[in-house]
Amino acid sequence: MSDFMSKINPFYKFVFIIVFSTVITFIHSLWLNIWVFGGAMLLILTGVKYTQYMRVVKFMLPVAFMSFSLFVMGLFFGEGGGGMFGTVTTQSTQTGITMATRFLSFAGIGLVFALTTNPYDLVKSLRKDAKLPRKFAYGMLCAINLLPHIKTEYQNAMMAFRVRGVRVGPLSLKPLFSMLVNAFRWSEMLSLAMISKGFYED
Amino acid sequence: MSLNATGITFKYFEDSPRIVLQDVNITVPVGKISVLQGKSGAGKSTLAYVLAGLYPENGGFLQSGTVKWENVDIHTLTPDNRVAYVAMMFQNPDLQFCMNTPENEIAFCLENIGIAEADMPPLIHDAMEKAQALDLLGKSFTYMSGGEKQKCALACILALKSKCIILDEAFANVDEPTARQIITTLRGLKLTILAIDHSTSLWNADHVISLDGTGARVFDLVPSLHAVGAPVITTCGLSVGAITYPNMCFEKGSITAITGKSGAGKTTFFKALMQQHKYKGSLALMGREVNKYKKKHLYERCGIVFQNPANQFLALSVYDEVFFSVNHWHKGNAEAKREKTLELLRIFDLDVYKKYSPYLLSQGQQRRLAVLTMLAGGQNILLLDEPTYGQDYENICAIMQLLLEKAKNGLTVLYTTHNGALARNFSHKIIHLEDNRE
Repeated sequence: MSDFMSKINPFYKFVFIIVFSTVITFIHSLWLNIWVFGGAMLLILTGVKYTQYMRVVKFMLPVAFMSFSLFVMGLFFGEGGGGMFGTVTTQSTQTGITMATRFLSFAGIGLVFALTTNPYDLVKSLRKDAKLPRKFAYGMLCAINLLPHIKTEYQNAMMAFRVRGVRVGPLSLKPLFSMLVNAFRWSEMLSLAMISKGFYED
Repeated sequence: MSLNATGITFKYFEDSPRIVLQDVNITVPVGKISVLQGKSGAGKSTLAYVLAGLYPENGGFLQSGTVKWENVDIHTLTPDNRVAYVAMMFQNPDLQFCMNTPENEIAFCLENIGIAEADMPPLIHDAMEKAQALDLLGKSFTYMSGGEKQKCALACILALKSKCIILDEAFANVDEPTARQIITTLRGLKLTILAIDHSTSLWNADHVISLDGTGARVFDLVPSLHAVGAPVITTCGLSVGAITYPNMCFEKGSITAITGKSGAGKTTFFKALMQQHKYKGSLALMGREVNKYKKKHLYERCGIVFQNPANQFLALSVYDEVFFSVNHWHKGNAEAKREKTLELLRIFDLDVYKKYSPYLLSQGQQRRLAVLTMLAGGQNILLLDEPTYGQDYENICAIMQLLLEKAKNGLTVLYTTHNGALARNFSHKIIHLEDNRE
């Protein structure tokens, strides 16, 4: 197993994937979907380090579920379908399958890109090859670096609220509000730290 | 030669009546270590930001005054030129880096001052070596301790070759031996240092600047401790992740200081107690395993104050923040609750800020408010992560007196600290965690 996909210039890979996805958006073909999805899977199997396979499975589980719901939707409500648990025709079955595989093929393309691209390399390449201003490039990297921090802070916020005797569930807005306030503070701190290191662009 | 600030008058908003700094004059001598002191909320951080040129460019309003290095006015320079004169190290080590590894971060810094990519590797190596952090070069920041991150922050500044370094309580999350090690490195480099810190002994400062006339006081509080009750928390063969703990026991009404290097598992122990981390072995709270508790019941018995208190505020004003806890835990009519809230705020000198948003308080004041909101609650056990960091002497005493009073009434207090004198003076026992990661 090699990871040859990771060695392609990230910016060119990015452009190719955007253009390719845009093109297939306009083509409604079951076989095209299957080929694209199959190709993506083949690239993942041959072009991605095997240590990443667990991530593939984790990502594909919700994708498979979504894809299945799209199939059911097409089956009953697509062209020729009979509404909720109504009659199913060959045409509606085909609509369902096309919708489901279409979803899979887009997910496959995205997955290939996500698994073989290091965000740092992508931003670096965007700067070099696409002449992206430094402000945006480093802003993106900052945001990427904040993600793990945001996760732990969210857990802390949930706990803090519970300790104070506030009832919070996974859907409560209160910890999100305090996260939002904190996120403003963080971005300010980060930008001050960057400016203090001489980061400047007019 | 020195860094001179003359006649600094600063407020956060142009039409705000509250003046944060009024006609401040200070001189930071070159090649020396100076420590800036003042009461919590006196405007130390604000002054540091003004000196570093970050304010008023990025916030606030400078009514009058200049900051000069020799004849160069710091405030007229652009950030990329300014960094040759002053750079800053911040309190929160998590929010200083925009890249993933020190190597990339220093490359970013060098790029800022216009150094070509090809010339970077030797400069990066050199800076990391000077900061004694060469072993961290390619390590991800995610897996670093606070002390390691501060070493990397120092390396960045060294790479930028700034003449003056301003440290805003930069060792808040760093243990004493590591802080001393970094300070020794700084001293060896003969740079101009201005540090905001309540401890002058840690810095062995050449020069102390006081912002409001109050000098540092040696910690000499020796309270008479009361007798303790039956064990409340007991551990046996406890391990969390890669950290193993000695067998510990905390009695009802006892005050225990937990010390140890950063990374030794002090905060992790608290998190295990709050069901935030899974553990192996036995960790019993009132005779029952912690992981057998429902979260709701656990949190009714056990309160916590975080290292970084800003994420536990839930109200829009300081008064509401405390009132919320009082209202939740105490019976009585509204007037009595209001009185109780104001009384608590007065103890910690926070009553003048009662209408402020908690987020507008200084770092030291936020910490005090967080302690207060938990003390107003009715939990039997209180965990405090670094409750006294960034506090002046009076406020440490106020916090500790209040804890002591509560402990006499049966509150079990566990706190972590890097302040050895505080731990020795103010605890029934000290538990020192060795760094015994596998």
